Amino acid sequence: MRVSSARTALGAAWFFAASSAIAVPEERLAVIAGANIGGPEDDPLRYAEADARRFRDVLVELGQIRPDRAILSIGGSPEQIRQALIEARGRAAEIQRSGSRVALFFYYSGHGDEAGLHLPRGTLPLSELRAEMARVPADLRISFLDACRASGRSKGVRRGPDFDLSVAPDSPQGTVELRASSSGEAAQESEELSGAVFTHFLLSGLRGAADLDGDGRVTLAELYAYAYRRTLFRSGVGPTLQHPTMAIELAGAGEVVLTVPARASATIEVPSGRERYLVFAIPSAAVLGEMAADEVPRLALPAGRYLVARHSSSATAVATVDLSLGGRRQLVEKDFQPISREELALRGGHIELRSYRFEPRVGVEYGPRSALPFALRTGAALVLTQGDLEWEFEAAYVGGSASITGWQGTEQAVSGGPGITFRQFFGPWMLSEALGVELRYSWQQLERLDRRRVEEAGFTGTQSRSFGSGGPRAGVRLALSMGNHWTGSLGLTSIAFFRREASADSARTVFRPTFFGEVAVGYAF
Amino acid sequence: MRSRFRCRLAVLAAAGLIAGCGTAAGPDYAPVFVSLNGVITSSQIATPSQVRVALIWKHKDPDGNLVRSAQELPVASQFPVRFRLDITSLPPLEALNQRDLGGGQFDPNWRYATGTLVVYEDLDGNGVLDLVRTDAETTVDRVLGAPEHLSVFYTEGSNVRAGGPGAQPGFNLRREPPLVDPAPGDAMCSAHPQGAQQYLPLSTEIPVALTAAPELSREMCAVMDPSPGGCSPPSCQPLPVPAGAQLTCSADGTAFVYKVCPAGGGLCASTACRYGCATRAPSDPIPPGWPCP
Repeated sequence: MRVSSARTALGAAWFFAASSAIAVPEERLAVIAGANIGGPEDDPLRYAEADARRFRDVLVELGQIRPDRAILSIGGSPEQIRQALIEARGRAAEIQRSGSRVALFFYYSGHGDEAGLHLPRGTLPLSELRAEMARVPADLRISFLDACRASGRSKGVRRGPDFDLSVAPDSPQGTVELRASSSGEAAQESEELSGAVFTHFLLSGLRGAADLDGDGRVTLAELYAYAYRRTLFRSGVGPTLQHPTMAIELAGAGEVVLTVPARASATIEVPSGRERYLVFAIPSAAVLGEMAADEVPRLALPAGRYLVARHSSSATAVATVDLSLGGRRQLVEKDFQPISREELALRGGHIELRSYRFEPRVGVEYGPRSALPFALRTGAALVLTQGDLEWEFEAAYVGGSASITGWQGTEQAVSGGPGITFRQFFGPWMLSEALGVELRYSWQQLERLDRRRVEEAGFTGTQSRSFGSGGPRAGVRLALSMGNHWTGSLGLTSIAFFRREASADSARTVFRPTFFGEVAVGYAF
Repeated sequence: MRSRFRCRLAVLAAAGLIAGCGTAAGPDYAPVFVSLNGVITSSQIATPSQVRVALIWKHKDPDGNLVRSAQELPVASQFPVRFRLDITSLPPLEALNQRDLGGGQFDPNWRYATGTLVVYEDLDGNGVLDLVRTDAETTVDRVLGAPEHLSVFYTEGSNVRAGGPGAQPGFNLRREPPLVDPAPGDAMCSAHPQGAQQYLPLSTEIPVALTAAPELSREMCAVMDPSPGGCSPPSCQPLPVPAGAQLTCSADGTAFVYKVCPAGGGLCASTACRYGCATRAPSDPIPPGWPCP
């Protein structure tokens, strides 16, 4: 029996009508390639390599592929892709010897044409690619080709030949090839989506937007149906239509389950309706996926923080979701704040809904070789967040017992200054590296230990001094997100203070390094 | 653009103001009570590299021993000619004496200490003048010189104003009159100062001759034996005159004084001379053993 390449979800659904989980042990491999630069005639793409990375991430998160079995080739040559496939061949043989089924995924994003994939140092013919994939001893081979052909930044790969299909009463075996567009069509990149349109919907679908039956799994049929429909719809608003295609040569029974969004560490659900939702990661602003509320109103994500932008025919709105610790979050209407279309278009995922944070801090300060070796430090910081950067101004009270040979007393100060912070996220944790300036004004109230004798000898036994200090500061802060508003953090900072200090016969400028550790609770608003 | 420039200017000005105003007391803050100025008037030795100055406070304990304690003084100027000494701490408590009110009574509100400046070579490089024990035969450091007849006199207490003409609370520079032997017929049979003590302005230059004379080493004795006290006739028992005593008779032979100075002894043994004296009326019979013709 011979089946032509499917054009619609209906056709694919026909083939994968049976519904069952993967019946036999299956190990998966992936070769993922992306190249912004194509041949000499091709204009550079912006998102091909980023698309490849995101595709790999989804397969590792939800597609049951071990990270070391997801072979990534970025901006490489045809030879690199050949080498990656040779490596996959070896690994597949090893897996087969262990008695498991092998499923091979291949993804490519970049330039290409009817003949092959355009890579920076040559063309990899499609015939050779298919031959190399065929040499991989896999039971199932699925390739995703999102390639650009024409000048500019549209993409396309011509349809391949039809495949034969024979049905066998076991797990599906064979080859499937999904392509971004039909013959003669261009595939497109999108600024709004920060990626190729077809890949964007592939990723969204794999993250659960394609799970129409709501069983927590995304099958090949569901994915193709979703990607086809959404890509065609999306390209319909542009100058050219884009029809994704799928070529199938499979035997066996049961569904090909690509991902299991139900096992995701975090899930966002949106209210039902006719709106479209784009999910951006914070602070990278990368687009992670898209949901259509009237289809599947949920998306599986890695743990993290997200901005959800809602588009409807009449208005736009955004909400932020903190799923740093994972879990499921059902967004409701009141979570969204209206925002103008212009601002959303201009800033995309860089919108900060709660860009200010107020952070009371308390800690201990240590100043070796200074008159205030240990002090209490308490204050607050106001922080303005802009993507990966934070601008902060901290003001604090510092006070403690002065330690001067022959004297006793106290030293108190108001201290603080501006700073800039670069932040990085590691799951629910945020690590910040800060640089800034610390200015301080201090008061010393001192009394000689032998005050009575000194005064009886006609000298002054007490002193009040005030002075300023200043210098650069640097520090690190580890913060744990505790919901949409609250964070708890622990920080360590060093300050290179310079100040004037009196000695026996003169005053001189001295360097006094100071260190402090603080705990803080922040409230974002 | 202009407002940005103003903003930067304001930030810089604030930083400058804060960093530039006032001085802190650091962990080793030690303000100067008094500065003394010295000058090397002569030097019979090559000036060593490790020259320091200490203030040696002298105190008499209840047994009459002379107890010394040393207080290091930072030298602000460089040798070899002029130097400035900053006194940044009070004399140690053990160096303080209380004014003797007589009858075993002392005034707790009038304490004083007397000290001598010494210029010394810090031979062991430990940064302090090492005082030695009573039985020491040698010293650790070497005293190069000390001002003659000048001492630092310190007073404290609520009755300090009674310290005598010219003495101020705190540190004073005092000229000490030289001690002279008693003359035949004197009421007191001991060495006594010739003239009155004189308080000098603290700005007075203190002359120091660097001689490294051996007797200067005695300044490093922590404790010295008590000096024999004087006596006043007729409580003295001057006769017989010890052999070897240095005798001085009055012209008419009716009075004499003798002096016996110890010879040898340890480094920290007392070198004070012992005196004896007697006077008789010309009409009195000549006592047996009377040394004067």
